[in-house]
Amino acid sequence: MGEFKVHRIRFFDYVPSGVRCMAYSDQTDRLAVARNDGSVEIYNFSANYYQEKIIPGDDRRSTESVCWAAAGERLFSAGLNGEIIEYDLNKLCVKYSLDAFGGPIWGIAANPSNTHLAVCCEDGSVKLFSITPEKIIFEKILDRQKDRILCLAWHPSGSQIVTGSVNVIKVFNVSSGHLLHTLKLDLRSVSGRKRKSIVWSVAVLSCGEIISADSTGKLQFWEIKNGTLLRTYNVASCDLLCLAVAKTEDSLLVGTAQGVIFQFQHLAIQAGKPEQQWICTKPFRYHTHDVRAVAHSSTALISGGVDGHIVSRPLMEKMQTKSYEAALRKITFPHRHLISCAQASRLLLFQFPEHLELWRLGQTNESGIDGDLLNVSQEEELLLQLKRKGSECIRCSTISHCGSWLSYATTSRLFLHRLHYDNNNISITRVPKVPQTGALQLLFSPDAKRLYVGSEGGRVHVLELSEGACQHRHTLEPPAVSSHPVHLLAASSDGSLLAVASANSQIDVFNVKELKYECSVPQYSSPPTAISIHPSINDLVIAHADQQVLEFSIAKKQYTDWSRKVLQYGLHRDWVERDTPITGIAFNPSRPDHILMHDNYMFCVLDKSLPLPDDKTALVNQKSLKQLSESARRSHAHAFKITRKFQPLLFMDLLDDGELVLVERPLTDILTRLPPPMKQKKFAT
Amino acid sequence: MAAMCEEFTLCGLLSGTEDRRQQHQQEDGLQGVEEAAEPDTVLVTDSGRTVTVCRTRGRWALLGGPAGSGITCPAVYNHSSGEFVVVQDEKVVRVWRVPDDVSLDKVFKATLSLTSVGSSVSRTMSPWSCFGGERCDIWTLYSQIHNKKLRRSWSRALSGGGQPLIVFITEQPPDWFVYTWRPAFSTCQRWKLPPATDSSRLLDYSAVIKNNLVSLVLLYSSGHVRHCEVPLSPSDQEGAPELLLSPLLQLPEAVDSGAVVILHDSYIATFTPSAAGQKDRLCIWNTSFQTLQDCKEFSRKTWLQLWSHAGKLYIPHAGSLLVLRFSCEASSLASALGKGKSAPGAVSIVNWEALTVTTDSLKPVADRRTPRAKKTPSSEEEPAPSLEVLQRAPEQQILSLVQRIWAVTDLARFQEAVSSAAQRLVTRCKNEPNFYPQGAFIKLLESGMLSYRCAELGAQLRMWRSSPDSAPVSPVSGFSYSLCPGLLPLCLEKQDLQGAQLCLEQLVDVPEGILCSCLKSFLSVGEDVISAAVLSTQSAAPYVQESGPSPAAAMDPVTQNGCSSPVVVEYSGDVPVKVPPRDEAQRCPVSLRRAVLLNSVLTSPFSERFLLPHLKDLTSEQVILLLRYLQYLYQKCSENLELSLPGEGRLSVTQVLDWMNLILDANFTVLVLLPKAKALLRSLQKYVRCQVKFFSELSAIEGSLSELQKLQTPQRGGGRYCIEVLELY
Repeated sequence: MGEFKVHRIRFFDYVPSGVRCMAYSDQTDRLAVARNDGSVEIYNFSANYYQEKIIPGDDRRSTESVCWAAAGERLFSAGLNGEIIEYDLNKLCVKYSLDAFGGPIWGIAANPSNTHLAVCCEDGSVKLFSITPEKIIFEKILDRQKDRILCLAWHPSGSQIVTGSVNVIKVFNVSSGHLLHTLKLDLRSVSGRKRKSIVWSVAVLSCGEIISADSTGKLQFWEIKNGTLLRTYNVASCDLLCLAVAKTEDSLLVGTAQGVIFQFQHLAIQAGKPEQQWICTKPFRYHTHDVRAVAHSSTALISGGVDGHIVSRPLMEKMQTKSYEAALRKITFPHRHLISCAQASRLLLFQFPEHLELWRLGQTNESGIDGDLLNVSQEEELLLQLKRKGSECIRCSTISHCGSWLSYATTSRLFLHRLHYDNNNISITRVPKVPQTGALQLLFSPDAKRLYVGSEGGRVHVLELSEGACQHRHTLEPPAVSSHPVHLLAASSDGSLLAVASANSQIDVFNVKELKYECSVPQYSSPPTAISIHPSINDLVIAHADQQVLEFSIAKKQYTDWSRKVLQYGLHRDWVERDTPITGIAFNPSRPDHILMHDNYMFCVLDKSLPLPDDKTALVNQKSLKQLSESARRSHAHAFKITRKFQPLLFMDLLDDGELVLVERPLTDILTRLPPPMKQKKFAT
Repeated sequence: MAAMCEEFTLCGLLSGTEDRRQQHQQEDGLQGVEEAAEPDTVLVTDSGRTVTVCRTRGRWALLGGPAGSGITCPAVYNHSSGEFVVVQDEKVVRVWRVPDDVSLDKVFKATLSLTSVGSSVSRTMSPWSCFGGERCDIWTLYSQIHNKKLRRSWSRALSGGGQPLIVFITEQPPDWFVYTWRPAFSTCQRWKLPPATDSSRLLDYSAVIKNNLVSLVLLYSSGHVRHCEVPLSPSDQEGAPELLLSPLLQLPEAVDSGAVVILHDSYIATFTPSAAGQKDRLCIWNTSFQTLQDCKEFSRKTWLQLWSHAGKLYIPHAGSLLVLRFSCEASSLASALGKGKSAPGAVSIVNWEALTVTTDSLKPVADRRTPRAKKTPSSEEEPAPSLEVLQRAPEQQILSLVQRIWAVTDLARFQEAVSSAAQRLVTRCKNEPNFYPQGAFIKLLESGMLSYRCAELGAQLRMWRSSPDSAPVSPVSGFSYSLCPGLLPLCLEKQDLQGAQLCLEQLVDVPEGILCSCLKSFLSVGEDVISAAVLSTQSAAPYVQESGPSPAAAMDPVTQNGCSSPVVVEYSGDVPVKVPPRDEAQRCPVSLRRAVLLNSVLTSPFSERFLLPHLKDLTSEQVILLLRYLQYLYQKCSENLELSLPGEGRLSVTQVLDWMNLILDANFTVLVLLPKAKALLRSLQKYVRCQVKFFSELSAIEGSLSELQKLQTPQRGGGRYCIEVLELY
């Protein structure tokens, strides 16, 4: 029925960069994650934890702290290069950077009223910046101290700032800028030698208690007025690296260097009595390595660390329904493709932050039945490794259908290369004078005569390609002025249509032959995660972050009958409750009824001719179908043909000769590339 | 074996009519059957009417009591005074002497005091008993315990060790108490019976005195037969100490009434109704092995009463008293357990499998009317006379006598016969120092092999033997050491090496102590004795050269122990000491025949824990010689990189190493201190270290080879790239 030769590829050596810091915004329900490579990602928790935006990193900066301001609309970060950066969330780039002149910056925090930013610097200074609508302006510097300051926190009233350094915690008055208290940490020797106690994180409660997490594994509560130590909790034997307090101040979260996070809750000691105390309630172990960042949303504990995972652990007591919403989420892979495929010439382009790799797929002459491993007559081959220019990380890349053009973009520059193959040699020539437009998404037209460059504001630049040259031909403007950047691009195989989607679910279709706007898809509530245009009938298939799959007929400018049926009938519960979004859609030209889709954990062939499954039948039924006879299969088959054999799946495409390309990235392979975790004694080892 | 003979009617019962049974089913029946003056006679007391003295052949009715004068307890015979005693109407005691036609009303009469009689009126059965030629009254005792609201009681009179004893069981709801009353000391002891866990009732009991203990067998309504022992020695404990009940037997079904009688040490008879068959069933059980020995069924015209006197069972049945003769012989199992007369010594392990193979089929299959055991007496007659003859026959005849056993075809019975013949011969050998029928013993031992063959179990046995780690438990079949415990020590004593070797081969569970004494004698016996013995050397020939013993091996059997002995030239005189030990190691330190003998010890199964203490008894010379031989064997094994040596015995490396370890363990201090042992130990250590190095190298090579193999066979879908076929249905 659907038989494929599958190129099962595991040589894509992608390693997610470790999470350095996180900031969660209650107002927008979005999480900003800064990674070690300097990139910043924004996850929309309301849209099924979808990774909406990625701002690529730059070797010249490293992020140490990130914070939201202006009701979650503006994002600031600070890092060891000493600059404060504001990101442009519409253009997905750095809006401006400002040197704080205090050496490396360890922490940044906005005051509760979002009027000021405070940064703490290596030179021991705490600097205040006032936030203006356009920029931030330096306002003052608090009393200069000697030692480096590693973390800071605002009092919820905004009147005091608490900082943490090595062995001391200091309290400053914001208005006067004076040092109020110096709280010295207990330096009693541990096993005979004195140890420095580094305060990695501080927080202040509205009742005036300071909470500090330090390198000796202690969580301590201090009184801000007199600077007395209230309570000490020996949480772990390793460093406590990060701390987050819930907005309601009844729960807090500590991340340790052993990969364990601890939740503390402010609970009544005795039922019915008003007296409350912080009690370590739950330890969670989702990470193998250091937990570098934690965040506390109103319903979930969020943590991230060196192993690159972002884990959201919903608090059961905060959930209204004990359903899918309450399930643990672990985000490991980006929700976009890092791979593109030249279907005609059997090439794969792998995108890494600092380089590109071009691989030629192997070949086989054999055929077999399901499950057979075919002998590879021609091995896979690494044709090219292309290093980026400059310090900026690669944002996006693409290869043309025929494999003769290759393009990639960093934040500031667009690169276009021409590839020549003769026999076994490959030569690459860079096309000079490429029109520099802010490139967020790249796509070659199927005939490789054009390069579509998705840009901010929903605009798409059409670049005309000729042998060795490139010219800007036209800019496709969205029908309505939009601030949202282009998120996805899809071209029809006849080269006449281009679909442009932005993260706010605005999907426009352009006729690129006539370079004019064709139509728009009715705006759906959830952001699109993958779009593709059917090669023969030009129907646009859209997968959304809420796992809805819609089919829009461009010719009729309406959803197709099948799509209406799906909407009416509803998708299978198991389908809707999948963890990861559909990140790839492809079509099988020999079977027009089939839609090929994948997410991280499954590959699915959606057969529109078959009935949709209801909740009573099993969604994943391939194993049972395999044992049935031909006729029985027909009666039991339903539209979703799912296999979970390949996972984690990062990419799927169909070559022109009908062979399927699946790129896996086993987690164990990633684990071997990570630094060794902190040694821990385990039982029975 | 126990069996019942055909029953015959002893006498008619006046009361034994059908309507009577219906009227008085519960309280009536026969009052009792007691022993009378002569061995063959019994005193039958019919319910309330007559007292009859019966001879088992012929009978005569002695008394026909007039109607109305109810006899309320069984008549008994007072052996010392030769008087018959009976109680009428629970208060009038009648005593008479002449068993002639006497009217009961005319004989001596004594009326008991009203108070004491009154106390017993409510009893359904008289507590009054007489025994052992002496009359005893326990009214006083009875009136004491009467106050405690007794409900039911039975008494039994016993005499053991010349001391009369009355045992009775009373129920004081919800408890049951056992009283023992010893008139000689006027002591009464009270014991509490633990309540039955399954809330079943006590139906009947039987008691015997054995070893100053009253052994009680109790029948419960759940079909359980339990056993307890009541000590006769007075206890200091206050109140009623609780007795310890142990389960003895489980009848096939629960019963609502029944009787039990102890027949013998290990036999009891039960008489119970069978719900299914509408019949009453009399069974004889072997309690040691819980097997049904014999079974007889009666139509339901009995009162489920049962008496046993002098090898006969008495059953009132359909208006007449039936007598069944029974025989209880100590079964062969009993003799194996040491209960028989011939083998009082302790026996280590009994080969149950082989012995119970016949009795297995007799396990409570209650419906089988003719158990196989019934045939036993007739078929056993055949070898039995030959056993008697074995005790007396001259040595020359013994072999032919022994060969007569081969006529027996049944496997288990054949083993039995072989075992008892061997047993008798061994006993005779012990008694007559010059008597030693070697040929007969060898024949008997070889018969073990024969029996395996005929049972086609030899293969199993060999398989079991070849596995070196087996614990010394009996295989499915095979001769057990315990079948004839004295044989192997006797062989050693008489220096019959062939017999000893055969014993080691044939007997599957030789105790470690005996094994060690075999080893000792094999190590130190003179070479002349060894060469005189008829031994098959094939098993060791492939790796021990015939060329003759190395001089060191010819040990003086009476060498003194330890360091005091003069330094013997350790290596042979013509081989210089400095010659590399390799050459020395090439030579076997023992002669081929001695090697064969030692191998039979080394291949015997053993348990380390039990062997170790015995090995400490070896002299230092023996230890050194054995170690050298073991080293030689080990080197032979490792030369060929094989896990076992060639030959029939299949001595394996593990066995050799196990023995080496044990010897070193047991004699470590001796070896360390002994200057003679130094060179040996050094070479052994060198060799072992060398081996360890070699094998660790091998394991390293194995590791890398397996890695290579892993690389060569591409992992299924585990590589970095593969093309596979996927079909979605």
